[in-house]
Amino acid sequence: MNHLFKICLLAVCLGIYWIQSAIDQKIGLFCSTEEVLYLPSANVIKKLSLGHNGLLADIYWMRAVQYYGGKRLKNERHFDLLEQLIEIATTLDPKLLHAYRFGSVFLAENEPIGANQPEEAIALLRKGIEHNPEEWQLHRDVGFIYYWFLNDYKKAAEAFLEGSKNPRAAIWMKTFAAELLAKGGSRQTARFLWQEVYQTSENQQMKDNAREHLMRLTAEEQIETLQVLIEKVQPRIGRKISSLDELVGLGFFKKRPVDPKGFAYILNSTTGKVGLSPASTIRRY
Amino acid sequence: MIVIPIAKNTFKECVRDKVLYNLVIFGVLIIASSLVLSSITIGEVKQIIVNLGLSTLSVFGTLIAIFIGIQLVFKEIDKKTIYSLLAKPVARHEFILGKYFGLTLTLLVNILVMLLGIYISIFYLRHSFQLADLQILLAAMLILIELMLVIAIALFFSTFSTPVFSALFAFCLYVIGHFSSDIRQYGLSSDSFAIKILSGCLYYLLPNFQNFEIISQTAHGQFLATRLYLLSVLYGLVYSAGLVLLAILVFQRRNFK
Amino acid sequence: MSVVVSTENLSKAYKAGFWKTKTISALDRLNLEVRENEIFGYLGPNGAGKSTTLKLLMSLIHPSSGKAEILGKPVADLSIRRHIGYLPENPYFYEYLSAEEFLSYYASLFDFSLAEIRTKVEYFLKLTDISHARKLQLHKFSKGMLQRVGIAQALINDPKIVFLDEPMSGLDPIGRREVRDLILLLKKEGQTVFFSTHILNDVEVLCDKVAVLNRGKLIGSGHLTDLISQEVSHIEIVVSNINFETVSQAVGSSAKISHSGMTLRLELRADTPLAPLVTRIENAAGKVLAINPVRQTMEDYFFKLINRDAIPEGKPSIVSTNNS
Repeated sequence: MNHLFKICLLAVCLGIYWIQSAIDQKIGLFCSTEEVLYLPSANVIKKLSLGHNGLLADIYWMRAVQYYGGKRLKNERHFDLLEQLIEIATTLDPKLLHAYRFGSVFLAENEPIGANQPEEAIALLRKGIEHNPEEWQLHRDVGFIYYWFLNDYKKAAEAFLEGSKNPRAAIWMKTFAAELLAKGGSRQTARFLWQEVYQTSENQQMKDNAREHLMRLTAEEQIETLQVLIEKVQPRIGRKISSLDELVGLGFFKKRPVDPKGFAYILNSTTGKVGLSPASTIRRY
Repeated sequence: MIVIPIAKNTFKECVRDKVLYNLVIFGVLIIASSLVLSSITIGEVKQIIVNLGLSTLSVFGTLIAIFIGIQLVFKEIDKKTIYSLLAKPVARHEFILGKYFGLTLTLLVNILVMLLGIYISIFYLRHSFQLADLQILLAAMLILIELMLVIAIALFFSTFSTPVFSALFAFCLYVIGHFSSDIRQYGLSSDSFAIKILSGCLYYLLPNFQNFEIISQTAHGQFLATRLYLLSVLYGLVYSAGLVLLAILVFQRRNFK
Repeated sequence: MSVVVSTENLSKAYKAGFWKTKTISALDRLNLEVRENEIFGYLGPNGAGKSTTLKLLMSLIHPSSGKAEILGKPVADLSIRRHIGYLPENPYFYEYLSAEEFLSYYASLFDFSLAEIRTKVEYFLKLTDISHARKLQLHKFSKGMLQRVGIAQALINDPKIVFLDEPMSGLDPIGRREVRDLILLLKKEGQTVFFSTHILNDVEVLCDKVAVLNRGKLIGSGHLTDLISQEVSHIEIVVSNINFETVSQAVGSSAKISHSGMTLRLELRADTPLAPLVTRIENAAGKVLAINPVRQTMEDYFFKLINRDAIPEGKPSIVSTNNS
């Protein structure tokens, strides 16, 4: 009798595993579209937290990070819930700085890296500034987003200026604001900003992201240089250059020029434009 | 004072309760798990340790305070152990005080154990301590004051009510106590005079647990102003004293059939 | 001998029923006195109010009216508790403590030094014969052992007066004998004992004074020797080897004769001259096995009182077990 019960128990355990897997399979298909249904309002959660809002903020931020990471791993391009999750985390704990800073990056970056929602990122940072007026870096982040993702140099300069008023702000903020107004979107300024992000980020993901941008900028510079060179050379040799190898042959380079990730640049003979190799992993916008 | 042997005995009773042990161990495990969290989130892990640690301390402490608090008096009456005890030169108020301080002492020990867990986790993370880490200790002490209030509530109900109802009332008061500001807001923004008076009375009458909400701030390394901290401590102690007095009054009039 | 316990019109009424409208009288105007160094027996059927009285004396419940005093002070006075000990009915003690811890705990509630506590605990563990189980947690104790622990805790402070509520309940004959001896020992050492019971035999053996309670009212009290007449009520003679008719003739019509196995039992009036009767029986070749003067027992007195108390309300009287 006892044996019979033990066998039944084993069968039940296996059965539960099988049933749950089956359920997960079914749900998995429709998961993304049903996501939105289950997020409660931030204020409701805060009320119900009974004083444990700090912990819940950490949990929601964790969920935001996992959500973002999960989407990236699956190479999905839409991050619909991200803004809401970050909103909840920052409402539960308005002083959750890393939620504002990293969250704004996740939101502002172009697809597939981020949610391509720079306006919402700025709104998030403004909320952060409201609750943390002494954090000058939030102003820097606002400025950065205006500059890089919205190309609004005037607003960017305003933000950097605002941030520079804080005595603890980085020294360059003020002068950079002036430069922005004067020179606008030069590659120099872009490089400077991304360099700053790279150097000051403690988070590896942020560093990698900045490095990708820097490499892109370098690639752009190199492409420009190559383009200018070709334009100069073509009238001198009297014909059109059809591939970059010719430049090697002409003695300008020792070997075929490669982008910062080691992929050779290519020259489109039809358009005459230098560009990244299709195989290159340099980030494209 | 007779209160001391009774408190000691109550402490012994709590400590030998297996449920308590399991809760404390579970709590410490949860705190330790916070170290694992660094791999699945971005941001300061210390913040998470403090949030998780103090919240665990608070939640488990509340559970213990309520579940043991409601039994403090009821069990003695139900099991009739109180008959022989009260025939000794023990005043009824000494009995209540002894029970109260016994459970308070138990919770103090639990808190210290879990605090140790928090500090060990922080040390494991950072390999150093900062002066700011002292704030965690102060926060834990304020949580202890909050728990003393919860014990007082549970004890009070225990003097005349069965465990089921005592638990229910205690939980209700605990939850409502976290919405005190809303009650007050409601009254302030209402046009009705009656509602203003009613909500005002309720606001001051019901225990305001929002006075003890300190965890999130401590996690950010920002602490309460000294004066505010001391006032909150005072509130907790005074309100607890009031409830204990009430419990004594009820208990003195009881007949033990 | 001074009065150590006294009650004056002590009453307790409970409100019962769902709406608390009915009043049940648990104790009605009790007046009694216990003197120093007495063993006072408190009797009554179950539900009579004995435990209620004891709890009123211990201030565990508050009287509806009347008062009670112990050692000249009102019962609510805390100072008298240093001089009294109490064993509740069906006692139950802290299950998570060992016997030793428990007695030490209770002893610590008095003003004893640590050394004194240790000595007392040792002594009473031995006296109540539970030394072997001193480290055992109380929830593992049998009923009889718990009773003994209960007695130990009641005596731990060398009280002047000991109040015992049904001290024999749950004990086997050996245990009961031990408790009886203990009570007698207490009396010898000058202490006063007040105990409630419904075992009448114990009362006869132990008590100086008794009080009988029924349905909340005191229906009889006094010194044992007064209540149970020292007078002989009748004489019982057991004879053998003689037949019924012969005995009948010898004894006369006023006696009762019954068979009891191989012997005959004669019940004679107390004033019957014995010598001629014995001679007549022996002359008829009979043997006199026993001559017993029978006195009124506690049981007789008890049932007399109970029946008397019952009759006015037309309730059937309790059937007694002998025919006096």
